[in-house]
Amino acid sequence: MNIRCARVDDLMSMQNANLMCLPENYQMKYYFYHALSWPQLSYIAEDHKGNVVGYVLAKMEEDPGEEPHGHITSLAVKRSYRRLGLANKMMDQTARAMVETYNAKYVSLHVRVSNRAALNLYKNTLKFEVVDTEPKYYADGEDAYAMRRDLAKWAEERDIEPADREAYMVTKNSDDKKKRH
Amino acid sequence: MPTPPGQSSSQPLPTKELGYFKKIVKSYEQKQYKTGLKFAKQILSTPGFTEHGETLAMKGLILNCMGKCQEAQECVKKGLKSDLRSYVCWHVYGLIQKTEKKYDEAIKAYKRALMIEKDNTQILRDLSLLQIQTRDFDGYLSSKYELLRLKQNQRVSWLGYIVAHHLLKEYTLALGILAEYIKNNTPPGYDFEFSELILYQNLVMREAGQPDVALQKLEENSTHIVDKVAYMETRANLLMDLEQPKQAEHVWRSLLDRNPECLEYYDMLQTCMGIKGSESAKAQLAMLDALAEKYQKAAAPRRLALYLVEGDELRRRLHEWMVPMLRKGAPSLFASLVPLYKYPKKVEVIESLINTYVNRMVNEGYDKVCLDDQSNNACEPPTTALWLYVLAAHHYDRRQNTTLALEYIERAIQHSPTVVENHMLKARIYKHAGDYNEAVRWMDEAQGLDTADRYINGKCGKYLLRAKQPENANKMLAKFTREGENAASHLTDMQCMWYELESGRAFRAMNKYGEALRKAHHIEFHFNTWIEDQYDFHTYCLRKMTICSYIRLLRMEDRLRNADYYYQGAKLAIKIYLRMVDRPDDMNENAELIKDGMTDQEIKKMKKKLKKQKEQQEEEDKKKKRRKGPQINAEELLKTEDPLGEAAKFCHNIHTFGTPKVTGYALCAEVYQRKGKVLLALKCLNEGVKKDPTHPLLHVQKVKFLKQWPTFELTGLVKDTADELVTQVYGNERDASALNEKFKVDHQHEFSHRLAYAEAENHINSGASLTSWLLKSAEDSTVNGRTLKMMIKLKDGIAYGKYGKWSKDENEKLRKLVHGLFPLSLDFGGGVVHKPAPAAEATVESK
Repeated sequence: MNIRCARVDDLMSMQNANLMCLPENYQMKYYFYHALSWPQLSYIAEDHKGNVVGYVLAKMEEDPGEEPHGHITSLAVKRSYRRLGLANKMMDQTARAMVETYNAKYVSLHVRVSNRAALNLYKNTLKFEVVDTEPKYYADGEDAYAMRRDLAKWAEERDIEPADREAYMVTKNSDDKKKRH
Repeated sequence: MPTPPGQSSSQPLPTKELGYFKKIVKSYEQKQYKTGLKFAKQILSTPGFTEHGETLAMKGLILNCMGKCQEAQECVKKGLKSDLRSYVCWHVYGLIQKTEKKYDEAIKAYKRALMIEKDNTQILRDLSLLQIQTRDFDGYLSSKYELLRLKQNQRVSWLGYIVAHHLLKEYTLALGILAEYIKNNTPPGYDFEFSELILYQNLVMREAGQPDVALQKLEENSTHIVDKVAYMETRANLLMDLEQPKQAEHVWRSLLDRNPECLEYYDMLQTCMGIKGSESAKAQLAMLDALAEKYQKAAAPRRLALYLVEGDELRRRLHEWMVPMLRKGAPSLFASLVPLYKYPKKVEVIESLINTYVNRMVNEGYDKVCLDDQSNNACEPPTTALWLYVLAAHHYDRRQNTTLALEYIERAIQHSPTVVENHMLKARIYKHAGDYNEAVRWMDEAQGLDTADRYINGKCGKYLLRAKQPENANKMLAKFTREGENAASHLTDMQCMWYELESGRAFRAMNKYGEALRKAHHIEFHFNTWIEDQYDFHTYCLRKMTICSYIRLLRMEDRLRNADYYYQGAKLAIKIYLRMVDRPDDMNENAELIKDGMTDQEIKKMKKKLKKQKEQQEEEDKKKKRRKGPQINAEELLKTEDPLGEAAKFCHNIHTFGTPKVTGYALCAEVYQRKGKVLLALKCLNEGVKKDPTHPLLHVQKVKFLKQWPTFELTGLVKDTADELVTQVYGNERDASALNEKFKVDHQHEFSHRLAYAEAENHINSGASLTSWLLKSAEDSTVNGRTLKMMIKLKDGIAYGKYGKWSKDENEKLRKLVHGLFPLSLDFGGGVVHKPAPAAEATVESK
């Protein structure tokens, strides 16, 4: 499967894949919003005919006062394309862009507490950690785990250059200080 | 001095009333709508101001925000009438027209407002947004110019002005202002927006045909660019444009280091290395093998190599590709092989490998065999056999060998009865064989094994629709849609295209043409929404600086309706509109229920029953009144006086921006020809010929048009253009029969072309006897493409009257014949028969 950064032209096919795979759906405008705000962050896997078989829809959380971090709005791989490592490969591309373009220190996501397959992927393959449980996060009343993956160390190990090295290091140190206290 | 609202020349308000008016404006801005209305009432109940234009306008604007559109319209119009010299009234009138999607009207109103109040930036902004939305680039430029003149210190003003020049292809101006802007606004350090701006500058330079300057600027600003992928890809492409393949190759290789699964990079690498053509297969293979060695975890170089080799080498590589996936249990193994099925020789190798594995499993025992001889002698895990049987079933399904496919999937199910994929595949095999009921049965089984997975749920819903069970489909799909809401309306809210299309087709298959049309119109509605969606981004992207993506959005929106879903939806609608013309009686959905041979009393009874059903349905529909989304009524659609005109609306959207589908042009040509739109019909035929001159559906339309050609009475320029186009489409041929006969001879080995010949022949000569020739074609093994799909087309076409008169016996002959070829097809009287369960369990067997 071909893995590449998602373009505006791919959004319709992404939306289609989302509606096939996941219960959380969005209207097209929300996909537009992602692609036109953070064009570097979303990735797709497509088959030989150009159909999206898997995607990562991602954004930045830009709350002032918080350190910059990415967020995975939605991730899916069609059932017949599982176990090819597509999610893993797409997520790494997204993570890299989050660091390189937006100085992201970590990336967060939500997952249904009952979704063991996804939980397994995030925990064991993608090295996310559960940081919190959010009660009744989903429309149907199910709880969500809030998960995080640290990107600072990951980027350092891979020689990935953050968008703004100075700022990246500063916040990192102050974090360390907080931990020590 | 700008005139403040409420003091327009013809109806100035005194101090007290002016105070109220200001409060209306403030309430509107703060969304305190009820308060706003209260103040409006104050003014409007004051003698002398009961028809105060600007107050009425503001009242209407507020009503519109409250969703009272009808009342708002009336109010605003009344206001405008009583104060035609107020720019506020014109502005508000424009705003209201805009929400009604009457863009032309809105633009006119804004312009009138600006004639009165030239320098009003808000109106200029509103006007410019509609100009870009409707792609009036000249108008957009002049509005942006005015805005810049008035607000020189605003960044958005500058960017809008630059974009306007760019879209008008006035590159020198766009680049000049851009350079100036960049020079004055270069940030000291990291700045995402500046990075985006540099990339935008680069885009304009490339489009201006200045790759050398573009590259130079890209390098100069490289430290500012934080979109690394865009930077590297742009750089590599520019180096290629500037014929520096060695340097470009280097960049593509660095990109592969980042993402070795991106196929474009391999392709570009080959171009740079000068090994693109098929004559360089050896060099390509060496390149891929080296990269496969370098990127151990990458699938792309290994998979791409499979295209380049044949015979034993292919076998060796496939073996290396398949065995690990079989062991790992990747249900996606078949999906990775699908592109190879285009090449019959490769299919043979795949088949032979599969058979070798299966034989070894059988002969050596699945728990003792080791498929990989070179590695240590460890046995295969027990799941290898499972995934091998699944692969074999997929393979034979693809080859349309239903018997073998079913045999293998049974083996897989025996091996692991609870693996979801097994049941899904079994369902798929039955679907391909034409037994939709049995397919539903097994997909439902699969769904039951993993009720938390929406993918299977959706598949199950889709299969139910194929089996003409829309109600059951909705019940199934409702498991994943908002609780307490009808699944169909939720899926429409979510713009779920597959559902709209599949349910539309299901209704068509059930002769419920109104409902089917409704679904097709939903698809049209969604595409319109997506076009409207861009409106907010005209401002947003200039603020965010994501202008490259914004330009891509504009261009994507312009060819949005090239999407396959649009074509499929439009086709569904157009064909039903044509049926309205050809077979108006079909539109009575209950026509089929009232059969020949019923007594009058029986017919009466049936009609009564149907009437009752309909009333019940209407009652239910009323209860389910929807809040939002498309309000399209199925019965209203069927009542149209002008079905061809309705069809033409869809045609307009298919061909205006060019469709990649030759069949799209054929469909449009048919509608235009019937409407007597000679030039449009010819234009579509001509575009179709350019795409695929021998396409069977296009051929039918060519013949139909040529037959009618002598009857058109054309003069002047129209005649000259038409004559020219006819020559382009037909060469020197002007005889419909001769054209058709030649087509018959040229394509005698293709079933679909034979159907086209027959349809065209029946059109030329309605007495033509084609029945026995078509029957013979259906059983002639030297004729290619006799698929189940084509047989169903033949059957439907006969019912429609496309192939002349068919007697009962002839229809039965066809049924028997196709039943022999496709014994599971429900359409030809086949399918799995379930014996009533006598005691323990029902047994399944083929009829």
